Amino acid sequence: MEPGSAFGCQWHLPLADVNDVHSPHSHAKRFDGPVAVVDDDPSVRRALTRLLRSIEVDARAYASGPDFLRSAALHDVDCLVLDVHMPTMSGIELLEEVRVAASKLPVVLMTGRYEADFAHRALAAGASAFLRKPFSDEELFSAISEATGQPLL
Amino acid sequence: MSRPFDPTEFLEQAPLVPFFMDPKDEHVLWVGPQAEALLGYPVARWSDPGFWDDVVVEGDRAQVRDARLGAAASGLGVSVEYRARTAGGIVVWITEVGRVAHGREGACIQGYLVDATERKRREVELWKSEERMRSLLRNAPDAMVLTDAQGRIQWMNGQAERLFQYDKAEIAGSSIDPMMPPRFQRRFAELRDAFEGDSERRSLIVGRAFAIEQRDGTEIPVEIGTSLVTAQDGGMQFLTSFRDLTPRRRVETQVRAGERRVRQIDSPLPAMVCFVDQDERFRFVNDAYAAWHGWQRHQMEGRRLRELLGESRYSQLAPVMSAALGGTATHVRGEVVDPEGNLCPVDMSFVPQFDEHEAVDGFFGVVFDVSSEVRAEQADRMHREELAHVARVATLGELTASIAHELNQPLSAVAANAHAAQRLLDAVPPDLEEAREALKDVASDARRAGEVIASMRQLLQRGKAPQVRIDLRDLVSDVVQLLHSEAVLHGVEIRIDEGPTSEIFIEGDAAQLKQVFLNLIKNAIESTSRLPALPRTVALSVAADEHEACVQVLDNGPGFASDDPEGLFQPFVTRRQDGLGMGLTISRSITEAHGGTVVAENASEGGARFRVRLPVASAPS
Repeated sequence: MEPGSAFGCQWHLPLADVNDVHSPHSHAKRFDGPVAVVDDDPSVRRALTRLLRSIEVDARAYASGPDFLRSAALHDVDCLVLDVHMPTMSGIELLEEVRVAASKLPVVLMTGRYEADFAHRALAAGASAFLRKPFSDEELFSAISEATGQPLL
Repeated sequence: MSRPFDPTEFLEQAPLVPFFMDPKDEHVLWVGPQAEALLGYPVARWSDPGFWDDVVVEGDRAQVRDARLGAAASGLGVSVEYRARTAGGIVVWITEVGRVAHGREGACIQGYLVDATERKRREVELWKSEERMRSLLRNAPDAMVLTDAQGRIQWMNGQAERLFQYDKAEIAGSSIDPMMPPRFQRRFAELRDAFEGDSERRSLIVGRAFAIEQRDGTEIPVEIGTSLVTAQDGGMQFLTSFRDLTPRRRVETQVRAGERRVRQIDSPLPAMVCFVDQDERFRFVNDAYAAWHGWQRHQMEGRRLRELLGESRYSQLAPVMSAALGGTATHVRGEVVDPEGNLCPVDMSFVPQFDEHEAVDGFFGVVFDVSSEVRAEQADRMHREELAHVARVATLGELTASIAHELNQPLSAVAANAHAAQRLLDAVPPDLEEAREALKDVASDARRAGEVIASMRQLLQRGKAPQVRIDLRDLVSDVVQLLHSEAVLHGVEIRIDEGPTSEIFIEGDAAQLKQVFLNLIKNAIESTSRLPALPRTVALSVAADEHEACVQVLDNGPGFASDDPEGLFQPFVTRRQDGLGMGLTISRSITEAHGGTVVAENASEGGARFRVRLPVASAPS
């Protein structure tokens, strides 16, 4: 599903519930989205949304921070998967914007660079979990689980 | 009537000036009254201290003093010739002869001075006339041989050396008779005898029915003229001229004017010069030309190229030679095999010579041995390539993090798609269509990663790559792809305006040309990234007309500090703290090696602009 056609938000009312969940994964309801994937690389966007959809998680793709913010999906999605290195607006900058509007939205940061202090920077910027590219399906799923506090499988 | 001999009268009237002189200080003690006529000074003046310093020409003064002091020391006497200036300012030659006498007062030179000016003048005249004669003989169009009364060779001119194919030095003293064909030998010797019986006869022309034999046995028809000349010792000598009557000799006569000019500039000329006639014979070679072939001039002149150079070198030269003999001047750089069998790079020019009827009568060949030049060029190119390679490796080193990221993106997509495909296939029912799409994406992302690797490998390649046709737009977009992550990291957007959609082909070394754009775009990204405000952009445009392609790299950074950014192309000039300062130097040298230019300027709209111009490749044949 491409930006601009995002009307699939009708059955997800209890946004507050998600943010309040702190219980162990095993007892929680399975997380099935919607997830917004923001990455400037079209291949990565396509692959990640395809992988999430293959386990029946609702996933939407955005090419940049401004695209995502313009789409008004901020209040529709239950998790954000962001690439750090994007032109015009970096993942960290986008995260800062998101935190202003939705302070508790689970956010997973991804990076394709080797940065020794990435984990520290990601968490300091308010990320709920982080990933180094390339990663396996399990790594992606467990990062989203960690961020949302809900199992994916 | 006879008078008694009066030595005083003789001494006073003879055309010589008697004198007595103290050899220690050259003081004139007494001088005859003729002294006044000799130099125009009153007799009293001769006794002045410093008289000789005033009178003797400066260049001869030391020699005169030494002769007199030496005479006193050795007691042997003095004999010296010198120039003196008269009271009227005229320079005259003086011969001074004296003996040393010892009296009560000590040693004294007693002698006389004679005006030698006239004798000197005659000597010079004689020398000049002999010199004129020699020069006349040297430059005579005919071969000239001077023999003694027995026919032994005393001297010959250069024309004779060439005609007979002997060196003057090696033949001197030998009889000239064996240089005639046997049937003419007796007749030739008789020529000399003809003068014996006729004291009035000074010269004799024999006419056409004669021939000489060259060293290699070739018979040449000649016209002979013999003159009797008197040697310095009064003996008889014969000067014989030989006029070559072969047709090629006539050709040579026609080109002699030009040839003589070449001979004059011949020896200081580092080039090898030859003149070859329509018969493909060397009519003239200079010393350098002969030496290069390992011969002497006379061994080459008159002989055929084919015979002298050998079949393989001849066939190498044949096309240009026939062009020159056909009237077309040719200039070629090529390699020829030298007499040691080595390949030697040479620059050759072949310039046809026309006679008065506008017919080609031969050509001048000018050959420069350029091996040292070529070696220097090769070394220079190797250094340039080495340096370029080092710089490429360094640049890629600086880009390691970005390139790793550039590889990580497709690899991430590959991993995610592969996992997705597995899950799609494992599902019940399996989603075959989506799994197929995932695998198609795996393939294309793997290809993309492979392209990054290939691009890097190409840039890391060492040495000279083959010259290939390259679409300039593909080349630039390859570089942009490699720098994509670098741009993203610096928050810089790269825009490409590819202009018209048709391909723009250039020819060259793809790795080196990529290096040029890698340097320029990377520099632009770095200088733009220093801007605090967004947007940071690097705008590229690729355009071409029928002759020239132009790539422009324009950034919106701070531009160059100087209005004349030419200095940036100097080595070790850099705007970066950690830069080596070779990037632009190498970029320019690569561009120029491809026949192009690269210039930098501050853009009127702000920022720095680089323009790379490269010649467009001709259409493939």
